Amino acid sequence: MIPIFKNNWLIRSYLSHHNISELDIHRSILSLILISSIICSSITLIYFMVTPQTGEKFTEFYILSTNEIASSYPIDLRVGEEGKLIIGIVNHEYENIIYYLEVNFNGSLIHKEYVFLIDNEKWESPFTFKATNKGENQKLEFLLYKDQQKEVYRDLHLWINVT
Amino acid sequence: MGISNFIQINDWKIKDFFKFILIIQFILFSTIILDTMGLQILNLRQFIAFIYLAFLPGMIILRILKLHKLGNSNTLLYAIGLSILFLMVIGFLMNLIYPLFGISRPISTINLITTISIVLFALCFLSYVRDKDFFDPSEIDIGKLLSNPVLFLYLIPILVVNGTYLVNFYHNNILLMIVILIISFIPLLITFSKFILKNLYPLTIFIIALSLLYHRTLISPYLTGYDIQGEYYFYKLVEINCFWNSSLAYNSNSVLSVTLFTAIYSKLMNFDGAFVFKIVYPFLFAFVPLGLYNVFKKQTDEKIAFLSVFYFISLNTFYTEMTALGKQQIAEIFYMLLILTMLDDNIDSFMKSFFYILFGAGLIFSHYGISYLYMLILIFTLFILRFVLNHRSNVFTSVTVLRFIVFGIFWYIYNTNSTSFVTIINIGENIIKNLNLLFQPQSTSVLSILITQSASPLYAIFKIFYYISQFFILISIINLLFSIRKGKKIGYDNEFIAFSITNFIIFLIVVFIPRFSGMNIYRIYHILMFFLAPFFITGWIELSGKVNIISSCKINKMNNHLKTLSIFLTIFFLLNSDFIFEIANDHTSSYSISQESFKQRGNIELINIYYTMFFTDYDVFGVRWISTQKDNQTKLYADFSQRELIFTSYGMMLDECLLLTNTTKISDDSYLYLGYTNLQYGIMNGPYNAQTYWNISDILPLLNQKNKIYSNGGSSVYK
Repeated sequence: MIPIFKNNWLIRSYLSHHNISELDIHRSILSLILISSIICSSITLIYFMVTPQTGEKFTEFYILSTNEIASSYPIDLRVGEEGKLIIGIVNHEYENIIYYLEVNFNGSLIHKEYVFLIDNEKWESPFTFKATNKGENQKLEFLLYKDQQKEVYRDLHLWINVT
Repeated sequence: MGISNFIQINDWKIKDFFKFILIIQFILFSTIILDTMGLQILNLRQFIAFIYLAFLPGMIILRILKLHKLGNSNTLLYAIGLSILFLMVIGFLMNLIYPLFGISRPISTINLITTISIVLFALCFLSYVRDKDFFDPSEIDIGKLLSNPVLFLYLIPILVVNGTYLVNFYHNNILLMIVILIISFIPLLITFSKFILKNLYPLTIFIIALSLLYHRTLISPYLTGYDIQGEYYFYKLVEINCFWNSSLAYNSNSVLSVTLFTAIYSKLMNFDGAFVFKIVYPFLFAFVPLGLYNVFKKQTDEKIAFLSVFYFISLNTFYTEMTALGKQQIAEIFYMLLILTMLDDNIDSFMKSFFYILFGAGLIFSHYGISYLYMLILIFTLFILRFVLNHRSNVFTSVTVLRFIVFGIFWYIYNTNSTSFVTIINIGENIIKNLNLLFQPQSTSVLSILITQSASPLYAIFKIFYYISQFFILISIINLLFSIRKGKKIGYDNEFIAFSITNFIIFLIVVFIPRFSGMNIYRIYHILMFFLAPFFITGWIELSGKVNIISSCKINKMNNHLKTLSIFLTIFFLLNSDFIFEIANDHTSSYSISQESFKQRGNIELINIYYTMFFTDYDVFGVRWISTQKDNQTKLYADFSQRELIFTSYGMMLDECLLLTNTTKISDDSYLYLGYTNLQYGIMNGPYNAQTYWNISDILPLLNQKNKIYSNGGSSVYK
């Protein structure tokens, strides 16, 4: 007999009067536990299914040539010639982000701008720079900062030869 | 209170049967139309399309063949097998015929739904003509459906799905660990109590199989494993082009089970193929143990059959490696159906022969490897049946064997420039070349496993458990052979005996002959257990009986042997599932329950293997970016596993990506892809195989000279 029923004369007499055995009570309790477990698990499952789950949070940062492929970058230029390319950012951070984009050429800042992207939004923008000094392997550096953080979040670069 | 048996709808009154089909058809049409309008009702389309594709064609064909009263599980098994075959044949014929009428994209959603619906209506008409008068519907007792054991069983897969969510998004394995523990106790529940009665064994087996398969496949939104990446590539080609190009000379392209079949499901369910492989395939594959239970039950009894199937499921190949082999999953459904058909007394010999042709064709369409193995098994078995057992079977004749072999060879020569046929010729050539290595331990994978030192004491115990089970199989087969020699009456069907002996011979061949098959030893062992699993149980009982006689013990009742056996099986399952390894913080290999252990231990070799198959978002997005943005004339390099796996599936670049090693001479203009393990852990997979690695510092000077054109924090592209 279940301990709480053991010494209760009223419950015992009720059970015997209605022909309810101890086994039936055990079964009913087990049923109750199982049904409530299934209901709870199903609710949790539905919650998981309808709530957008967050995977890895990251941002894609890339550069393309003006014909929108990852080739034919303007890496061989003449002095005074303009180089053109496309800068792209895709937000997979599961939140809205204000990015700060900075472009340095040979260590000098040549472009900066803020880009606001909502989650899953893609931003692509043409970018033009001018080769001013002769020299090989001049670093055109693209730096991306996230939400006013001081450290660089993503970085890309091209090595430019200027003749 | 009872409700109409919705499993055996082929026994319903023809009017009700057609009503049911019409309702499903109507809902499917409606959901497709709503989808095109941008309105989706949760996953209703996926659910209805699954019912429509997985069961309806088979149920209608059963009705045409006037097959009734087969029982719940056999009805489902035959219906599923016939439905899979129906879809493969319909897809194949559409792909063959429609282009002749100027339809260049035959496997489009509209073509598929129209054709399948018209053919199903035609089949319905045929079933009306042949079977309009039959009706003998059975009922399902709702009380039984809601009984405590059944509720307990329902709970397991729900917990598994929740558990995978917890692992995927909260990095917590506690629920999956609990479910594995619950499953491990089921053999004890069967032998020590009467909580789960015999009539629930089929449901129990299906639930265990499905739960174990989902506990693996629902981990990660991406495909994990080796072969499945190539399978996904060929499915995707069909899905994109709406056409199966059978002239592409690759093994995975020679089978319909991962090309047209996957594409049909993907298009009608509006599901990416990755989810078809992760959700639909395991569901269908979970019927294999159920079919085996029916086969074993006929040869032994319910409890032995249950424990045999539990042993079969416990071998982790079933829920690890098999989940990465879509074609083999489908092939094993047909393999199981061939065995079931051969031994099913509920169908007459004419229908058996007919089913043998159908399911044989299904096997050939599904997987070259199993088909070739089955050809070999058939030849051996026919010989044993005729000359050892002196038995002439009505169904299993030399004509049956010859028909299967001829059709199989014809199919593989005709398709994909005979690539699968060439594969088997090469394997044969390999065996002959390596025969001089016979009995040398290093030459076969089995013998080398035997002599290789275990990674840990716990792993050594795990190996011992395997040897014990194999020892009992050996004992039981020897006992069987002695009984045959002495002319004793054996309870098994002659066909089952012949097949079992053949499978045991193949087991010995695999042990001693080097490079016997294109498959690894774990896959072969798993296939051999289709017949040999019950011999482990009977071997245990036979030997325990003899030990009891020797020790004059009075507990020689079979039930007691089964109780001790169930304890063994519980531990064996916990070892196989990596539960014990995870608890002991030992060498674990489970992606489902040990993800955090992999990362926390920081063992670089384990990390290397783990990320070989487990793709991160960083990698998938990086690979997709470069594969869509790259200039096709420029070479692309990546490390061994990335080149072999993720670039094949998510990059759709088969053999296009080149292998990057620390000695590779890379041209100035080429692309260089670095993935998550490369950047995060500084290791590059390869160069010889996925188990090896080298240090990224070897190529740092090269990287410093290159342009960095893409970065997402976990992967980068240099040019």
